[in-house]
Amino acid sequence: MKGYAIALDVGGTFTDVALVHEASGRLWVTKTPTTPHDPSAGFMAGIDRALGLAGVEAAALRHVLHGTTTATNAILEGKGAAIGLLTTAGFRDVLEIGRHDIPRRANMFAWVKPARPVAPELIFEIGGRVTVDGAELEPLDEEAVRAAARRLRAAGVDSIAVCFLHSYADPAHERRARALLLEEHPGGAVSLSSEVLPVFREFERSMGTVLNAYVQPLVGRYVARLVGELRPRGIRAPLSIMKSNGGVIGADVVRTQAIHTALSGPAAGVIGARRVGEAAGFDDLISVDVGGTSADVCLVRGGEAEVTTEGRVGAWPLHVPMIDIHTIGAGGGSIARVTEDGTLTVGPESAGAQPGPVCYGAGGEEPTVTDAHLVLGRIPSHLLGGEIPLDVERARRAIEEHVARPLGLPLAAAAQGMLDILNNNMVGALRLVSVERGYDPRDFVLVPFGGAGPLHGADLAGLLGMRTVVVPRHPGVLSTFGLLGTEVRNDYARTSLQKPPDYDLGTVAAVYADLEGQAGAWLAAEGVAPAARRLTRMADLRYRHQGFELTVPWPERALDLDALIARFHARHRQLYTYALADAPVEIVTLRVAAAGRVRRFTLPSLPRGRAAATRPARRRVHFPGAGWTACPCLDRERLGGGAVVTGPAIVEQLDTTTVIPPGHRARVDRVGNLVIQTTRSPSPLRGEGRVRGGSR
Amino acid sequence: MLDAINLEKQGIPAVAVVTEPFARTAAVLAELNGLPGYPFVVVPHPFGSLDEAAARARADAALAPIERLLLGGGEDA
Repeated sequence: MKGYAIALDVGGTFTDVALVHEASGRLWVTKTPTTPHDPSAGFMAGIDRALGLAGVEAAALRHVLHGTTTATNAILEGKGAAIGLLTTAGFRDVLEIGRHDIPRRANMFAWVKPARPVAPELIFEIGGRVTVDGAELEPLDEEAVRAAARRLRAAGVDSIAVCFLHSYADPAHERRARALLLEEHPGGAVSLSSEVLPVFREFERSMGTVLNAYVQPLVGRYVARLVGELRPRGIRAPLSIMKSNGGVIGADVVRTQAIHTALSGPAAGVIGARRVGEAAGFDDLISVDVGGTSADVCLVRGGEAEVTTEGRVGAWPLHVPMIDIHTIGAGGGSIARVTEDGTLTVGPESAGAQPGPVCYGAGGEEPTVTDAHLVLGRIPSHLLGGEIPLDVERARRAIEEHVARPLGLPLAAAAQGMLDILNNNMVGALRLVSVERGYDPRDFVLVPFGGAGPLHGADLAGLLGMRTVVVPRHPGVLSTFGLLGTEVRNDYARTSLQKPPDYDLGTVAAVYADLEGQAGAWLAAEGVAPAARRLTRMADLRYRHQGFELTVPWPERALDLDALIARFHARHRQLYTYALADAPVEIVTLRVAAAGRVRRFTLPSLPRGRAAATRPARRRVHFPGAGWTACPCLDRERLGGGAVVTGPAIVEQLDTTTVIPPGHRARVDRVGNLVIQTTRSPSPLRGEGRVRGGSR
Repeated sequence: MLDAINLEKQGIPAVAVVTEPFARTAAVLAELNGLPGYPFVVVPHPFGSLDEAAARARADAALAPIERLLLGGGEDA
């Protein structure tokens, strides 16, 4: 009794929606405007629209999947809840002191330390102490906990973080504190560090717990409102929310682990790109999601997105497991300026959706990347199938006045220069997730998506020597595909420091057994059949005296120490070009990643066909090196499976435009991806992205 | 230095300990952050190459001026 699944990704401008019939794979996609004052309004409008489009009853929905930016926006805009923090006596200033380093691009003398998400007067020191081994050194001062609860209640603070020293080793004090807090302050919500982030390093653990408390009321209310509005519509399907780690969790869990949704939307995009790569036969890819304001870049290797436990959100470190996405301020709305010394800069400032690029005619005056594309003929004179007409003349004037004249360049060279600068900014981000992490981008394919990604894909690939670009069938709603295809996923970790030569493998085995017990219970509660469960053991290792760790897999059930350490040396060499074979290696934190497949989403196939027989429309498009060219402009809807397009060509569709430059050829694959390859000499390259089962 | 100043601004007594080469930088930071003349403790450079006993001796020597600044003695060591 298969039904329908619906996925909604709420972005800054649009809410993307995809509805799929699970048995047949039949798919409907649509977009509705995002409603920032109340995102649930746009969410419900999206559900209604998709159901209407497909003529499907609400009761037929079996899954509702959602990617949200509620938590991130609350942190970035400083709009979280007023919160309190209980910490171990003597550790009141851990958050204030933080780490000694300042942001890489900041001026040491001018940098102002950002105010912490919790006010100093709402931080309470509590007596009681647990050692690094989890033994109780001093009992919890229960009266101090009660007193803090009463003061927080009087101050109107309902969300409370608790972060006690070494609670990852024994959470008993934190749990007792929660019980006492709720006795004194029954309406409060409590975040425990031993549940949010049970690993060592006081500042990062405190910050993760505080951020969870900071966003929890807002995210909790939002999710409750969604559930409350789904029910009256006759939708009984469970609501699942995308987590930063690329899995989904149920609405109930989100209410207490809100911080895990911080990168919900971008993570969904990466999982979507992974699905597209999988369908196209590529396991190793780099995804680049280019929107109006920012570009999100991520590396996927062997079909798995890289996961980091050293991420950030805004100014804060967030060490919960997150898909390792690097974001830069580069997109269609990025503004071009000529500085006083005659340097052309593009971004990070963006014209956003309002006023938008100059060519929107909505009040924008400074030229943007979209204006450059328009002036060069790379995008049509209207967007979204005619809904948004574009003013080419206005764009030309803006580029002429703000870029071409100050630099003494012809108009086309100025516009091309804007694109070149943006491309090089994005190449920096692509290098960061690949070269700087020990991977050669030439071994990967590029998957560009988002409204502006396919405009830049071939150029970016060319700059990095990547030979293949896969433009998804629906680049504008790829995140929803990620949601439809995602697994349930949760991560478990505990710090258990093991120093050589006395590695205590008995303790290690016990910790793993405990973590796997938790993981198994959670997977069962999520309704994952035993055969569909996957548990992966990992460990964080470091050389003695090193201040950071590397996470490596530890798959051997017999806890093969030599294999683990060899893996650590190899990863260290890959990242930093050397390994210290004789140096003592410490095991610091043990991890278990739990994943389970609860539904299957197969990308629908595209009927075979050729490019439309009719002669395509042409327009003048400017390409570097070739100048103005009469370039065929094809409608992607009319390209069937197997169609081949030789560059130069422009392929247009409702949600994006793909540029196929001269010297490139594109083929439409089985599921409708446009696979672009360079036909030029691959002399400096090696190792094309590996192809699996390429029988098409 | 910045941490000490931030803590002081919250009413928490703090003292920054800097090695000799950073004394000028520390003074400029204090001035730029609105506390010109904010006293701090200066200890000899280098520190990284000391063995444990020598490092302890340095710390012992710094203790008195740290206490003086924290507990209200006033002037730079």
